[in-house]
Amino acid sequence: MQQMITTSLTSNQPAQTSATNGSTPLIRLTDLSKIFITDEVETHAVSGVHLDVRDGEYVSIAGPSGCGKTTLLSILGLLDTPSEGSYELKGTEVANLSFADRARIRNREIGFIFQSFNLIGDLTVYENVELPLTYRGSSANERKSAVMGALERVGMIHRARHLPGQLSGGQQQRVAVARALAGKPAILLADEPTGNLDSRNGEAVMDLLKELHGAGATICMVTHDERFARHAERAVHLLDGQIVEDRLAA
Amino acid sequence: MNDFRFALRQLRKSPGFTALAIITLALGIGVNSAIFALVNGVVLRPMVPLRPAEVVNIFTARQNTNHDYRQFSHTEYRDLRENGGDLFTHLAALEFAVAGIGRDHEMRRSFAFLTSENFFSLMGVQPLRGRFYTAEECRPNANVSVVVASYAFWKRMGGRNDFVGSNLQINGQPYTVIGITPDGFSGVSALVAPDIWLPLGVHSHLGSAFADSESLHDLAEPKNYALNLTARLRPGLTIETAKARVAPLTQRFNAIQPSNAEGARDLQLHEPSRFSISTSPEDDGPVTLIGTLLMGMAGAVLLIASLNLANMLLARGTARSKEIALRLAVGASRWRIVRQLLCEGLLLAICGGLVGLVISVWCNDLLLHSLARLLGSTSFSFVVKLRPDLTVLGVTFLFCLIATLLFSLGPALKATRADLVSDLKQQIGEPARIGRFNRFFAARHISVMAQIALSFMLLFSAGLFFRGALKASGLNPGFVAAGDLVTEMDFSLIKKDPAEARRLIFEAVRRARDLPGVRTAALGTMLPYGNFTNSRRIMSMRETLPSDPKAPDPGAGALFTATTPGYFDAIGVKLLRGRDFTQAEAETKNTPRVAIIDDEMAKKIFPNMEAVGQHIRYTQPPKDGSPNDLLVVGVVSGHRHDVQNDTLNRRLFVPLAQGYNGNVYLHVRLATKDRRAVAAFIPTMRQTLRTIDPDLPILSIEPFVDLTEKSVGLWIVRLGALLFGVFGAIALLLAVVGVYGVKAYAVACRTREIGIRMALGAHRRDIFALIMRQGAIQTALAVTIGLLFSLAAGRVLARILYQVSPSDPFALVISGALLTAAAMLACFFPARRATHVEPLKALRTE
Ligand SMILES: Nc1ncnc2c1ncn2[C@@H]1O[C@H](COP(=O)(O)OP(=O)(O)O)[C@@H](O)[C@H]1O
Ligand SMILES: [Mg+2]
Repeated sequence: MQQMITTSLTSNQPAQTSATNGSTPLIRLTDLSKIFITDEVETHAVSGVHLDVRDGEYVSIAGPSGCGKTTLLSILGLLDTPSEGSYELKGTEVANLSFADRARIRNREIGFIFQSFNLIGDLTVYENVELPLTYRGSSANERKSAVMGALERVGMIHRARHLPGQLSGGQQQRVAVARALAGKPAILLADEPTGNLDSRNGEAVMDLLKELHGAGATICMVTHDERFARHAERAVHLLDGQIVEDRLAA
Repeated sequence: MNDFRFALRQLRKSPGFTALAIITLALGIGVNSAIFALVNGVVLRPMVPLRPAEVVNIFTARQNTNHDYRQFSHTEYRDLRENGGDLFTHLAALEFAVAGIGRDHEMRRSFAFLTSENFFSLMGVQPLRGRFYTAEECRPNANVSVVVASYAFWKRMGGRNDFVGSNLQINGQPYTVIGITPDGFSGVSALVAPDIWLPLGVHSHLGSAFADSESLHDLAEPKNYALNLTARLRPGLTIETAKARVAPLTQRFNAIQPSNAEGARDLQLHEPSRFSISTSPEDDGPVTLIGTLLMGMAGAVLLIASLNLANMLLARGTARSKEIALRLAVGASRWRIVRQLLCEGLLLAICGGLVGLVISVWCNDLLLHSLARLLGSTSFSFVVKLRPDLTVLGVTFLFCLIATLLFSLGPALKATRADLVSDLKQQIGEPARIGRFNRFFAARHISVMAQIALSFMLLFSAGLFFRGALKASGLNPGFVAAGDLVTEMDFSLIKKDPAEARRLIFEAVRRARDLPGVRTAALGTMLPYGNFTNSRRIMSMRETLPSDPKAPDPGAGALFTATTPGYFDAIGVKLLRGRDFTQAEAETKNTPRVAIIDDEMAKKIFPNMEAVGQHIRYTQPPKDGSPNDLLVVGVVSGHRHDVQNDTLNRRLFVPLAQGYNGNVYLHVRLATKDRRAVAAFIPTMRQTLRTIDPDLPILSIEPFVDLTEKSVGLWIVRLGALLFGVFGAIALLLAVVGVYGVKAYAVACRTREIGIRMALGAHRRDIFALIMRQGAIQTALAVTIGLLFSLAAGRVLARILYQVSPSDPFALVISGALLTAAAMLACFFPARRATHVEPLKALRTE
């Protein structure tokens, strides 16, 4: 099964052409639930979610705090496993894979952008961006061109030798975006990417995501800022772990 | 005081940390205080109660290149005492002797000092009970049978109040106890003390055990050189200034020499040796060196413990940085907080020190116990006291202070240098500005690398000593100890007439030989690996004695043993050429003089020649005037006298009648080599000897293998291995705990980073490799530095190593591998824990 994913990935590019293609969606969640059990209290963080995401879509997920946005995104990013239901990625069931298989898929198909950047302080900008590539055994040359390409796209090439601590928040988040891009993943997952930024830097990062989408990237972004939600072409609203609204932007 | 109360509360709040810290410190400080107690007891503690710097020993040597020393005659002593007033306030004479104390079966062979009456006032001691002897009692041939007992001896005899005034049987004759010396008084020796002190006047009465028992007994005889001299310098003189003024006395001394003396003699002043009782000057340097080395090694252990603790405190400081930042924010001065942290450190150190002190006392008791067992069979009373006195307590406290500064000042300064703003809004995880390089060389990693390097050095040193001990144990001594039962008798202790004693000896040999299960029995006057050494210098008759008195002595020094026929068979030495002694030669003095030498000696004095059939002579003619021309009748294979290599190793044997002295060793070779079977033969042996004469002066009956195991040389080599082994083990333990602690802490700090890496697709093996790789690089670096330390340590140790190269590759590889494996194991568990980090949880900690 994982072999299929790997082979289908070799030709993978966030393809622009398949966006309107009516065949298999990139992501298909069917009756997906996540239940946390702590101290005998069951929290239904996500319950009975159906969601299809097509190649090249830009989906924003919004909703009040605690409604299950991050949980949903973690499941999409294979950081977490659903309690029930099915998750098909590129037509392959991935809900119950082993740790190693999930790690491999995360590395190849998913690009994460976190609220708190999550760059590694010891590593330079270049090394941070290179990180996902080192875990897939690309050659040094491949890595170099991929890293430089990604940094180029976020306009951070001049800071390649810097340490994250020497950059502003907005710059750090751009580096984080570059890191998410560098591996050419099938989908970018962003959890409140502007949450730790002032509005001007926030705008800049949103513009960058929009630009990437324009170039064909598939993006799922969690935000509770209405202004930013409008950047996406499709808005999903969550409430108590359930999708209460799913509409295409005007 | 407030600081201390607060510190106590802080430490009680985290009992796990406190316990670990105290154990670490207890090990570090305990080792130091144990070694210091040892060094203090043996090397530092002044032995002479009164102004020890003024006490010197006086020796005389011929002014030739060999510096052959001899003792002084009573005439010489009297003359020097009368005319040495410019240099000395006191000049005392001292003779070392061995005496049998007690009756028959209860007899114990004891060390005895015969002294002039002023010896005690010179040393500055008063009798604890009774009195010391008088000048009249010390006059040669006064023969007043009085004795002063040592404190230890008195205690051993029951410590009765009426001991002074009672009678004591010494060498078969009654002596009156007139006094007791104070506790701990041993003359100048720091190791061993005589059991009894006797006035010089009983010299002929007693007989001297270090000389031939048939030699001169009259102390007044001008050529009876039996006395050692000790003096107290006039106030204001040092040993150096006194040496400069000794010339007139030397002149006088040479003027009173008999006309046929062999050349001019020197008078030499030397600091008294603390460790050996000898008739020639001894260098205390090696022992002092060993003491210094031990302290150095113990210091390294303390350093490791302190570095270890510093790391724990650094980690704690990070955990407490919010508390500290808060205190700084509300206006506490930095010094106040540093003081507070130092207080906590000192409190830990003192607790550790107390536990360490208990451990050290316990260890030293074990050590003394082992020593006492070793020396139990010999005639010495052991005087080293290792109970902690004020000095030891003081120094232990000093160690605590040093440790405190070492382990808590750095972390305290670092904790209080913290950036206020960033600490108050403290982010968990790594501080912002840090590079990989900085992290690799963070204080805690440097410290852990230093620990590994130091541990390597200690392990390597231990390895060298273990190699030495193995070599010493596995040494082929050249004789066969297994199957040989040795009976030691000393006829000088019962004042038997020599002719009668010899008759008994031959009777004993004959009876022993006839016992069932006995292959052969014979007797020698010296025991290989024993504690006494007799030596003579011999030369080929073909050589002439040089006429120039300053010329080096000809010939070679030889270990001297008088034997009965069959001795070589009995101890398992091969007769290579020629023949053994005959029964007639062994029994009567009037047969032609013959000798057997070993092949080492044969090669030395008869190079390229057949030794058998040659004639030899003593370089110092026998005092009894017997002919000085011996025919070599046999050559035997060489065999060792000691574990140590640097002692004499050539041998000369003569028939018993030609070299009898009262102390003899009867070797009985049994048909079996089994140690237990040999030991089981002891009662038979004792019974057989009893039937010959119930009063035979039997000192011990033991299998030869037990005796060689008790060799002091072997014990020292093994003690070295044990001490350094303990250092090495503690160092290894501390280093492993240190590596583990730092790695575990590092993994905890990097949890978030690990989560990020996993989110980006890192596999478990990638994370495992990440942690292990760093540990491996640090270990490799530390081991490289440790290698340099080790080679340096080896060079310093070279002087006291036993037949091991100071850069022994075997020890180097083993200790390096052991340490690397241990360090990697210590990394393994944190690394494995890192692979179990849940990425989701790690990322959520915001
Ligand atoms: N690991 C967990 N264990 C228990 N409950 C959790 C866990 N993660 C999230 N939750 C609960 O699930 C619900 C949804 O959380 P989350 O997805 O983080 O919400 P959002 O991101 O929309 O604010 C919350 O009620 C939260 O308390
Ligand atoms: Mg959230």
